[in-house]
Amino acid sequence: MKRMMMVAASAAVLLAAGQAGAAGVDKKAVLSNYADIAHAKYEDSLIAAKKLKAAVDSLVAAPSTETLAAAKTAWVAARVPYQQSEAFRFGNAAVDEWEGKVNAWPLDEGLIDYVNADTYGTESGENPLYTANIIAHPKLKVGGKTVNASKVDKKLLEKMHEAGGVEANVTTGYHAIEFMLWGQDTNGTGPGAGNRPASDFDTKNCTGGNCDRRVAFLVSATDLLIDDLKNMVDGWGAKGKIRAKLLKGKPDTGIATIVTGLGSLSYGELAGERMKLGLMLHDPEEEHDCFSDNTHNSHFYDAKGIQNVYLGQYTRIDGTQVKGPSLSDLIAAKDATLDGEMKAKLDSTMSAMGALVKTAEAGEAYDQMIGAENTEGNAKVQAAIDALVAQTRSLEKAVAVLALGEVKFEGSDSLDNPSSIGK
Amino acid sequence: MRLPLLVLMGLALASPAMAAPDYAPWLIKTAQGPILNGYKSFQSSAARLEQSVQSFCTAPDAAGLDTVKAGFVDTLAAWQKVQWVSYGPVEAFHRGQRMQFWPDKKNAGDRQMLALIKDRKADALEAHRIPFASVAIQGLPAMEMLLFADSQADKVLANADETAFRCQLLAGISNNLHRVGGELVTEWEKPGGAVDILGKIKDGNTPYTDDRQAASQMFNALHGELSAIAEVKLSYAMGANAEEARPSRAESWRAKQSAANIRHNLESLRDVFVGTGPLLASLGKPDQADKLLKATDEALASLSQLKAPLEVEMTSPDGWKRLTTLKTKVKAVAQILETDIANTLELQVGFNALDGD
Repeated sequence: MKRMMMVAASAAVLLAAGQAGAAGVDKKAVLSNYADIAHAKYEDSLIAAKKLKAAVDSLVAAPSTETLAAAKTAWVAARVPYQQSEAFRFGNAAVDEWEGKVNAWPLDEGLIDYVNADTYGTESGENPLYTANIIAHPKLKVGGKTVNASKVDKKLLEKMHEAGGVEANVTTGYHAIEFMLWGQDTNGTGPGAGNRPASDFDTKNCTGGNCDRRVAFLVSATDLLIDDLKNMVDGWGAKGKIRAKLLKGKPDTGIATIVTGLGSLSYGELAGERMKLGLMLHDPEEEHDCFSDNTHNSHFYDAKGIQNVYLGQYTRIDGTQVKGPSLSDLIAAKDATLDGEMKAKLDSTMSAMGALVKTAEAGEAYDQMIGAENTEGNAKVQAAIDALVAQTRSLEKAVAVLALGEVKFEGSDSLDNPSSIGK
Repeated sequence: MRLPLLVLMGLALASPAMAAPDYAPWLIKTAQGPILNGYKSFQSSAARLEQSVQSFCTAPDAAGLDTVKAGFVDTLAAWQKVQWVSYGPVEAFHRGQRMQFWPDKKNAGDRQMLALIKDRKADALEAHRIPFASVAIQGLPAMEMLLFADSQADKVLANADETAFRCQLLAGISNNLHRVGGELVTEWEKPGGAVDILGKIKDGNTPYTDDRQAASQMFNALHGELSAIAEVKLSYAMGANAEEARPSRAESWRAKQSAANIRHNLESLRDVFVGTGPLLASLGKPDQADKLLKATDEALASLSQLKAPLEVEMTSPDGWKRLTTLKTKVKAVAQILETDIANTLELQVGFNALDGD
């Protein structure tokens, strides 16, 4: 239950802005470039997902430590453009609705496959399917009804996604695939990621049981990811509906959409739900990419996506640039100092995120950084949270300067409401 | 902060002919009364709870354990009376979440407590370590699990080893509750503390721009508690109908205190509403105070209509209906705040706390 926080410009500013105009920056051009960047990011995500599919095909054709490692590498690479696209999620309703299919998190992995009961537990008051284990069971009970799961395919995965209305029942998207490739991380806040053996996909010398069903699950989930990404690429294409909605509406509504996306991801989602909550709970399950220990990159590229949407400039995975009029230009035309402040804040965030990446690459994973009594690691994560909150504050000033009226940012219980209750 | 911007808007919209509300007396009286008294009561309940744990652990028996459980229920009740206070010292050092991490939608508390019990890691709850431990294992829900969960309650007196281990955990948590309760009292009442700050906003040098900002913060906290009762304490657990109701999502389902919690919440809000009377009267709207109190009393009355603990009520169609009535009554109180009172006090609900998901 996330809270929204509202930023409203004062009436005085609204009145003044009515006459001021856009001072040489065309809002439509800003929106068009924003849509181009969205299209490029989703297209890059699709390209990377297809490479992941090729690596998954090689893995299931000949399971080995090498083919499994190659599939993991492809998954990590696939996250790079996708995480940068998260800046489009909030604000664009069509993206937010779709997002649950590809990036739902956290998940109760016991729904999908075998887990270690010692670290995972055996039941949850929240989720009756906590240990349903689809891969081991051709028949499943969901809310008193029997589900035929004899064939593991895209249909079954879509059917079981959020089964019983529980959000943690995730069977599609990046994190379901991540769990397939890495397996459960049983190391808590100690060193080490998930360590699934390649033989879990070996139908001839199967470990973990039901390798054929596990293979079918992995392949189906990857195929579904590709299907879902295709829809998003189309939505932002030249004739796409999401692009059309943005460009045909009032320009200020479109600009407000951009700001909502940046503010909500910075504040409620990344700083709050994904970082602050984990820090308070010191909980490895609160790690965004918890099976792969790739969370540092996941957070880094989220922040990078916020920065490059603000600047209107994105470097694609093939190195080419998508560049054009930006939110930064719009703000600079009204208040160059504020634009400078915003850029500086975004830079500070990137250096705080860079410190997390550097720490992780030196061998201390994100789940270790948030561990209880790891004062130094906690401080590094807190610094990144503080930087994200600070950039949100500057963005709030931008809302006033651009006279956008009411803009709602996604809030977070853990940031806004430390007195415990989910308001 | 979002509040200064909202404040600007409020100023711009206010009619210049209207007398400006003088928020200061309302702010100070609420702080000195319901808030500070509430924290003092929480501190003393927690102190008695800690004492009862010590007595029980010195000579463990069933009667002693019952005293501990009763002390837990008292301490939970005292916390519920200040739960609405979402700002001030409770924000610092995660004090609020450390006292009660809830709702716990990902089951972190159970998961972490089970791991701690399995590994016999009582030292995580020792006084010098507990402030740095997960918020989910150091407060009221963790203690409730130890005392009331089906899988745990019997173990407190199972054998000498178990009792000794459970006693370490109970002592750690009750000490933490007592200590943080003391911090909250001190931080509100010390010279230069939260009460003082609210009394001299006009002099400058406080975190607030003006009285209106502090009033807006308090007003939103009150409104937020009502929303939380309706949407989280009731709707979230009740689901779409009695068959889909999830008692384990209720706030204190193990101790069967979820309805009592709502009673304490509403009573604490009522105290604040009584104190709002003079301010409303000064603005020519004494009738609005009556309207607010009447609506609150109606919500309390529908709570009295429940025939079983809330956790049980929600699973029967009739009980589910009674809870729906309660929810409607609670929302009606929120509605009066949002409209009449907000208008008169020239404040507004700054954000819909439950938008989003």
